Amino acid sequence: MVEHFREGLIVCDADGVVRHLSPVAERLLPEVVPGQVLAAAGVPALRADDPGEFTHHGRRLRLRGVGLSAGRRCWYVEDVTESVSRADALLAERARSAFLAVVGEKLGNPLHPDRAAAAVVRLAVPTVADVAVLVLTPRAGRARWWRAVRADDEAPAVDSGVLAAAALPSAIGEGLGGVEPHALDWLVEQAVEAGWLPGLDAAGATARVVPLPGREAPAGVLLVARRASRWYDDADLDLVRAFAARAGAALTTALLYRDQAEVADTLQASLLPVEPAAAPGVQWGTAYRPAQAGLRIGGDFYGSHRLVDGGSVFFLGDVSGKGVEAAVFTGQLRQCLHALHRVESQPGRLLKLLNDALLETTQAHGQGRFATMVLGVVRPHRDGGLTLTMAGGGHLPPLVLRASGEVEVVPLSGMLIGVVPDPRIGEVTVHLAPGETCLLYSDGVTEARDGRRGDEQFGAERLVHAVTGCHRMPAPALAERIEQVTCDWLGHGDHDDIAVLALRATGPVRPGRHLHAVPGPTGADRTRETEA
Amino acid sequence: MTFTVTYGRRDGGPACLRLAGELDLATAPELNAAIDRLAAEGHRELLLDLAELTFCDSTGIAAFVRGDNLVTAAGGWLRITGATGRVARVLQVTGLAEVLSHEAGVADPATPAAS
Repeated sequence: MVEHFREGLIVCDADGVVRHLSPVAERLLPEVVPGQVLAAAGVPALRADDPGEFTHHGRRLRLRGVGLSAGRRCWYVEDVTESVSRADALLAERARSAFLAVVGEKLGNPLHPDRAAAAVVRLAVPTVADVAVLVLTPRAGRARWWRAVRADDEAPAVDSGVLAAAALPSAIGEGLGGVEPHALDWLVEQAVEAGWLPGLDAAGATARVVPLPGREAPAGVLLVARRASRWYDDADLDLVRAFAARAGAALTTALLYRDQAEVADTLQASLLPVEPAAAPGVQWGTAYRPAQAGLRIGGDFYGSHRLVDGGSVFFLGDVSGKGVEAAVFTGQLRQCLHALHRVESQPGRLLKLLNDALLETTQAHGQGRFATMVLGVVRPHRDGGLTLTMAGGGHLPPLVLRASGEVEVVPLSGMLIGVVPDPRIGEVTVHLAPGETCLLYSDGVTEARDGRRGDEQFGAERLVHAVTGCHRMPAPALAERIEQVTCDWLGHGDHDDIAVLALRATGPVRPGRHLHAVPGPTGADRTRETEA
Repeated sequence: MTFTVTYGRRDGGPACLRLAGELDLATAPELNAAIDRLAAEGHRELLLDLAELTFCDSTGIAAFVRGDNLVTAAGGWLRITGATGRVARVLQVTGLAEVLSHEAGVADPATPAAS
């Protein structure tokens, strides 16, 4: 019956002589012979009182003794080799899972690509390598690399560098092609030669290269190296590959994120209003506050273009909608104006040309897009004043701050731009004496809703009141003041895009300094006079 | 304050939508949907009664323009009527009153505006 037990059985008498030996015990401990003293069998563990576990003939054995009557003693011996190795494997697997969990957590958030690369090598040491080198897929013939080196009792030291793609070790090149190189001996030597393995020599090190999966081609390769005493076995390699998969995903995300951020920044910059160009006799003042402040772009726009005769085209307006879509439309509109002002500088006709150009895109778009705007041409006068001819495209009429302190509403009307084929465009000419200011603004100012007391709008009357008495202010200060009073009115409430453009007649243009900047200044002067 | 669109069909006349409340970014989709529904049902002539509309921003204006484009493409028209106060001022400033006003339009039918 004892033959079927997993445990072997040895029974000794009071003198320690073996009296009975089960077949299992006989197989596990062949040195033990019935009729002889157990302690003399040549197995050191059998001499101890409580030997516990010991290794014997390559097996892990567990031994426990039980006292019987009359001084006899019984020993149970069990082969626990497999359960021990299973437990070891389980512990190792747990360690791997814990490591990968940490890796996933550290690389989980989108990072700057450089920081992601540094994080990858730092995480690889010491769990999978004494030295870890990450080589990114070369861009423009140059490959950037990051390296972490194990430092005792410290965080690994990380450094980085750049190599010409042609100078990369061939094993790295293979890895970048998506293949795990096989020539392992050469690999260590290549890495040593590249100067990547400080403190390790070719004879005493073992290394592996695994590709980091990317979107189409690998995002890079990871070279892991450590002392040859810890060879990379299959389980280690599986861990390195699992690590590389996570690192590849993090890097790919980081690179993608960077590309998108670059594109977004470029586009955003192209959609921001450009400050008006310096023009003789004109002091410009602007304010711009998009509704979605985080985006820094919106549906309001302003700008100016210099004319060859010394004058300038200027404009301020508002497109329907908000945010990115509106900003893109303002971009189209500003591009249109940029081209069209070269063929037509008479404000009313220029605005109609713009209307026709936009009508095609707005109707094709099908969402009722349109713009309202004031577009004018300003020309300096010899007396230091300015003549403004303005066309109205369904926008709020400008204000004029007279030297007397009076604030006038310019009687300018007209139809929105981009809606009907032949819009009625109003036109009006205003003369500014030196020190007088014309003020263009968007409905984000007058339609600002009271953020504290309810939803009453700021309104045109309050605006007129707010700028009354400000006729001596420089244009930039005036624009800033309007933005300020509007924001005070809003409190912390939501608001529409806010834009302000102010033009102030600076006084007589000093000959020489300003006019040098103008192409053909004297000719321009004559042209202006004949036109006036 | 909320926004409502009510549909009132009058025999022989255009389809009439009464707008009440505030028409802005948040509520314009409702108007767009109502206009789309009428157009899909085959209505080509739409009259928007703005008598009870208290606020209209550029998004609202865009909804009028969009609706007009929609039915004009099918040979019809969209007109607005009854605007007062703030809304009337917006329509005046943008010049839209001239383009879409029921009273001023020449292509409008003889039926008087709803109020």
